[in-house]
Amino acid sequence: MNRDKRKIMLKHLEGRFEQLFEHSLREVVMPFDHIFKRHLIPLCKILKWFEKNGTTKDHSEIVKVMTKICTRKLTK
Amino acid sequence: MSTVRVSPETRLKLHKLAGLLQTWKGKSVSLDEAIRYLLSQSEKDMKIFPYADYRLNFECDKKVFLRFLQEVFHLFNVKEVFLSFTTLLSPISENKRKNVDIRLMEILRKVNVPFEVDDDGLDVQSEIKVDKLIELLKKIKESFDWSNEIPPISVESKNIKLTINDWGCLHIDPVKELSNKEQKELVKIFLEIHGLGKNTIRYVLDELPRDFAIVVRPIKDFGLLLEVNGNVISLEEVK
Repeated sequence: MNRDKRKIMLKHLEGRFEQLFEHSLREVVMPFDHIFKRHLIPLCKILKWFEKNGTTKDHSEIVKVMTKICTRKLTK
Repeated sequence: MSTVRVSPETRLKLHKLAGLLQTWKGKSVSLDEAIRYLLSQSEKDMKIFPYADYRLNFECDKKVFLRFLQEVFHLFNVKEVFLSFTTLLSPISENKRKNVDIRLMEILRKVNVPFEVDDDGLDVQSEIKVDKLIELLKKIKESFDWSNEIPPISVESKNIKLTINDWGCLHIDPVKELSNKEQKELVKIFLEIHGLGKNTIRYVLDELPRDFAIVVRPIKDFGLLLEVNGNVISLEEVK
């Protein structure tokens, strides 16, 4: 699998994980399946893709990206 | 008198409602109490209402979403964007996704947007003019059940990154933090597009707290009830 595709998938993962945080902070009603369909399913699909196509380095990048977002969002 | 901003027409309707509630409860009911009654009824509906917050999350009415996007691009003077999405992230099974890919390919060819397809789905990573993007989104909206078939879409320019989580659901991520003025401009566009009157918008912007969360609730027979951080600001008929 080429490096560009892995980079793009990592960017998608970053975007989805970040949006999951944004949505969890909202105080208003959202469609009942919005988080499941629009955030969790895409996140799961990305992780599955990396399990199949990713390298050890990718897996460590995933942890880094997710941890970076956790730190930023939880210290805001 | 009500402490909430209401137009003369709405005040009349509120008086009628307060009268009805008074008969029902057997005690006097103020206009504010009548508004609180409308709000409680609206909350029971559990509908999805237009929403905007200081973290730049927007939930637009589905009918005005494209117009909102166009106005946002105009505000930030964005003419061209980098469009990125992959149908791998569509919330559907692989079999159904292949059908989506085929239909989506037709549309992308028509509007001349390059794409790649492999076993994982259809990928778009392309520079695209804003006009073309709007045309593309319109065509996709007309041809698909967006929430169930189309993946989240990311749109980037040098000033801002937009994430279209769902049709109507937008997150704006500016490269540098927005000034107060720019933030208020965004809120102004949001309120205008959802049909709020000029005077109400001016009032909201003057009093807008830094950490705001705005909800616009359409109330049957009354119009739009506007809430900022849980406080009802206005109730006005839609012009």
